[in-house]
Order: sequence, then C-alpha cells, then structure tokens
Amino acid sequence: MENSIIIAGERIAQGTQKEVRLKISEFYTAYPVYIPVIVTHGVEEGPALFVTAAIHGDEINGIEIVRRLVTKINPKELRGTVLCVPVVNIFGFYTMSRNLPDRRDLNDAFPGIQKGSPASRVAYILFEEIIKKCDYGIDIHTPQVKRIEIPHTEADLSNRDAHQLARAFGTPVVINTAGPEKSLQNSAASADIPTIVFSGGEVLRFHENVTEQGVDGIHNVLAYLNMIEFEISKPEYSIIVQESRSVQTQQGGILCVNVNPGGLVYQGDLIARVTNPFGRDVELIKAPETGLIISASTNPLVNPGNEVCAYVMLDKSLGIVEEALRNRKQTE
Amino acid sequence: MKFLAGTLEIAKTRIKRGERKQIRLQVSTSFVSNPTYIPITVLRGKKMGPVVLITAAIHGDELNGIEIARQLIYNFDMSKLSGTLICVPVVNIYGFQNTSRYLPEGKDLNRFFPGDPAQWSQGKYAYVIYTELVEKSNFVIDLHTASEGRSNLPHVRADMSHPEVERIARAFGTTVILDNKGYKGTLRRSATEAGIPTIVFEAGETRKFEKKIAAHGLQGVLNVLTELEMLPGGKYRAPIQFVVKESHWVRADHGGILSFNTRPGRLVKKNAELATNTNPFGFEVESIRAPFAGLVIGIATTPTVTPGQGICHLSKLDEPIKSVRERLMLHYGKKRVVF
Repeated sequence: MENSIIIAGERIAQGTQKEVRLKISEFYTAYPVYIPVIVTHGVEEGPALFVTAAIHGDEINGIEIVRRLVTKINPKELRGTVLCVPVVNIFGFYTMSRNLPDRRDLNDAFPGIQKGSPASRVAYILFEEIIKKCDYGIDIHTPQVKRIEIPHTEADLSNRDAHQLARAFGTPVVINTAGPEKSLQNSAASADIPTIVFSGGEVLRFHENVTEQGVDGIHNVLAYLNMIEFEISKPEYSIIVQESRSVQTQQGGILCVNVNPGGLVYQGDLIARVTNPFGRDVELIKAPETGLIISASTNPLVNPGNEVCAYVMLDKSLGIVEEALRNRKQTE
Repeated sequence: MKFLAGTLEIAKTRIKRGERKQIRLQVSTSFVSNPTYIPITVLRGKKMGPVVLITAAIHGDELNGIEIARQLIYNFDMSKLSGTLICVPVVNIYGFQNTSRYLPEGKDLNRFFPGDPAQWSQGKYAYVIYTELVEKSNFVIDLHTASEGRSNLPHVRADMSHPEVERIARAFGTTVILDNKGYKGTLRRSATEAGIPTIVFEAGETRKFEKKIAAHGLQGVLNVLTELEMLPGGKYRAPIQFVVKESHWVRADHGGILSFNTRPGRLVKKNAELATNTNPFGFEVESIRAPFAGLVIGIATTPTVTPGQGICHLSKLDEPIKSVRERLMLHYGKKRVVF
C-alpha cells in the first residue's frame, strides 16, 4: 500500500474514492463535530487538488458543484488526487449564516492557530489536514447577502500558476486579486499552493448556470493539470478585471434595479430607481460609464450609500462582449 | 487650550452661551425615504471652558451608556458649568432600534471612523458623526459595554502615551486602565490621532441597564468634568489604579457547558480554576485554569462553548496579588476590584 494516502486518520488506496469524516471542532454537548471530505485517489501519480466550499456557511452553491463533480470523477481514470470539502463552516451551514457561532468570519482566520480562537482552530485543522497535502486549490464562494454576481474566478495574476489555473477554469470574467489577508486563497498561496476562488450567484441558492460553470471549470482545471482526459472548453469572451467600480444610492428608500450581472450598460442608461412608499421617485440612478455589470443588489430596502451594482469598464473589449452577447441571444 | 468663544453650531442649530438645547441630527435616510435623526442634547455654560462630547451606543445593543448620559443631563445645574457638554445617548440608531450591535448591512460602525462621504452607507454615517460632533469637541468620552455574551469589569481604555488622554483616563477614576491604541477605524483611535483626546469606558453587559455600573460611569464622567475645571469641586484621584498593558483571553479547549468559578474584579492566582467545562451527562470535560496570576477584567456570560472560545479576560499586574489584595482591603474594605 505504498501509494495510498492518509486523510483524517483513514487510509485511501490508489484508484478508490472514499468519504471520510474530519473532526473540526466540538459541540456544546462536548460531542465531536465532523465535516465530510470526499477523497478521490487516482490510479496514477499526479498532482493533488483541493476543492473547498461553504467557508461562509450560507454560500452553499459549492455543495451542489462538489456533489456533481465527485460523481463524475472516476478514480480509475484519474492521475493524482482530488480532495473535496463541500461544507467547511458546518456551524454556519446548520444555521444558514455566514459566520461561526461567535460571529467571527472563518475566512479571516487562515492558516489558523492550534490554540487560538474557535475560527483559528477550525482553520488550523483544515489547513494541516487538507490544504497542506495539496499542490493546487479551488475555493468556492458566492457574494455576501443581498447581492447577485456573475460567475467568475478570482486569482492573483502575478502568480504564474494561479494565472494559468484561472485561465484554464474558463469563466469569461477573471478578477485579479490575491484575496484578503488571512483568507484561504491568500494563505494557501503564501504556503506555495496556488489557489483560485470561483464565485457567483447568491447566498442560499443553487443557480443552474453557476453550478454548470463551476463543474465545467473544475473539469477544465483537472484537464489542464493533466489529471483527466477532457476537452477544455473556451469562454465566450475573456475579460480581466483589475478594478471594479461601484454605483451607490444617495437617498434612502425602496430600490428597483434594472440591470443583471453579465449584462452591458451604456453611459446614461437608467440602472435603478429609488422610490418612497407613496410611489414617488426620490432618485433616478443612471450609468456613469459604459461597462459590464459584475454584481447587482437584490435588496430593495436601502439607505444612502448602499451598493446598487458594480461594473467594470470595457475599452477595446466592448465590441467582443457585444458580439458574444448577440451570439448567445441567437443560439437561445 | 483654545476654548470655543463664538457660536457653536450643530445640525444648523446655533447654541449660545448659557443655553440648553435639544437637537435632532440627520445621520441617514430610512427605507421609507424619511430622514433618520439621532437626539442630541447640548449644554453650554455661561463661563468659558472645553467642549466635551459624550457618546453612547455606537454599538446599538450596548445600553449602559444611554442611562449614564440620561442621568448626566437630567436636572443638570447649568449655572455650575464652564464650557460645553454635547450628549449623544444613541449614536447607532438603527442598531438600537433592532437591539443589535451593527448597522443594517451587518457592519460595525466603530470600524469606519473618521468616515468618508463618498464611501458606503457606514462611511457616510461615521462621517456625519465625526464632522458634526467629534471635530467640534476638545475631549470625547465614548461609553461601551462588553460585546454580546460577555461581561466587563468597569474599566477605561486609553492610549496612555498621549498626555491629555492619560489625564482624563486617570481622572475618570477606574481601578483598571487598559493601555492601547484601539482598533483602526474606532472613534477613539481616529479622534485621538486627530488631536482630540478620547477615552472609552467599558462596563457590564449588552442589553441591560445595570444600576451600579450607571452610577459608577456617571461618577467617572463627572470626575473628568471636574478635572477639566468645567464643574467646581475637588479633583478625584483613585487610591489604587493599574495601567494594564498586557491582557489575554483564556480559552476553552473543548466544547461543553461551563460553570464559572470567578467573576470580573476577582484576583486569581496562577493555576486557580476559572471554570469547569462539563457535558450534558454531568461529567467534567476539562478544568480551565489561570495561566498566570492576574485580575479578571472580562468574562463570558454564555455557558455554552466551542473549542477556542474565550471564557475569561485576564490582565497581568506588575504587583504581587497578595499586596494588591491588602491595598484593596485597606482602601475599599473589599478583596476584589469593584470600580
């Protein structure tokens, strides 16, 4: 059993897929708290990739992505190892909330501290048991509550490997960011494990187009890393976002948004209106520039300074995006 | 120090010397497009003196400060006041209405000072408070409690490297002063760095009016006003005062249900048992002990814990526990710190 691996104390032989339970914490009842890990250990040697989801307990889209992924990967045809952790923040998942019971953000605690706060301890165990055993990583998120977002990847494009992973993943939009300090993405990269984030949709929802892009994207990455045989699919268009801009309300009231993530707006278009409960407009919000909508608010109740949408300016690529959107309309 | 001689204007309302005014300051606009106001009371003495700002409930669930502010301005004798008192009992009105710490977006207002008018809603909110109130003041006292699920020994937090901050921190008169700069974006740190000496009073729990704490807090504020010669009377000096530079949260290693053996204000020896962690069958999971001798300044009030949760905020003292205890007995007739 020379080439078997051990995860959470369990031995996984080459060419097999196994579900293991990793003890991540304890309940108030003093019982252990486990998270599920699905290990697919290929017949042949190759790199190890982790796929983590629901580090924020309400960002559940990754659970469905992982579910479809693990049924499709055949350990008998895999080179290397895939470690899938569909629910990292099991506490938040149970209560459908982003954070841990003490309101701390788990994605602000990596790589963790063995004897630290509750979040640091969970982060430490995940980092030691899963992340450090891998060569590459994909961390799946959605935007925060009250927002809907275009499916996209986030990667530190100054890192060659991360750049290649993001390019292979194949979402039309790639945001160039190393991630906040102490996030899994940033901490894994610091430990020489290039990691990208896939994000899209909204909290507490499965969106079919997000799920599909996620599953396809991970297959593309596995093919790029030569772990599976799969024809890498190319995106409709490809935009790298250095900086997205935000449109905000200036008045409080009831917000009605006219734009969708992935859509184009032209300068002067009506993006949204804020009304009062008497049905009168208090503010008409127009597009300050021409751009591609990255995310939009789903929350109708606003104070001054709430985000209506975020967009990215398009220079040379405007024509390409216009054509891609026209083509999509025709095929539909 | 240069005192304000001319008119003071807040929310476009002028307050003349010798006047007491109630003002509504617009901080935001609500979901129904109505302006959102916070109540402010300004007391301006006939005689010249500094402008002191009292803020409470920047975290909407920390209520003790509201009661302190109310008692301070209730039946206040204007004839004795030199200078100006600006009293803001509820800074975070949205959180207050929801009994929540946060603003509507789940954001902590006390991380966004001095604010930015071009920023998100929380930045705009902080900017209004900062420009309309903080920048017009010479000193600020910000009233807090421990966060949810915890309770604090009444103490002052201050950046003691700043002489004027040290002056009002010591004058407030708590036995314990925690010496640090505070998180970035807090009202205290932003104002102090901008040259407006600011201290925080931290006492008790969220969602409660604690009578003894309100009485101590009120006395502390009055002590500061006397120190600044805004009120007549002899200046107060606490007979025992510790400036604490180092404190740690003692954490549980296992999930379980706690029974506490200590409370804020107690002096504990090294290895003294702070809490017993048990499971619902009644068996002991672990005994949580003090890693060093010190003074308990905060404690968890929720008995349910997960691994890593802080259960006791323990501060290091320069002096042996025995001698502290003897001094406390001598001055207060008690073995533990009360205020």
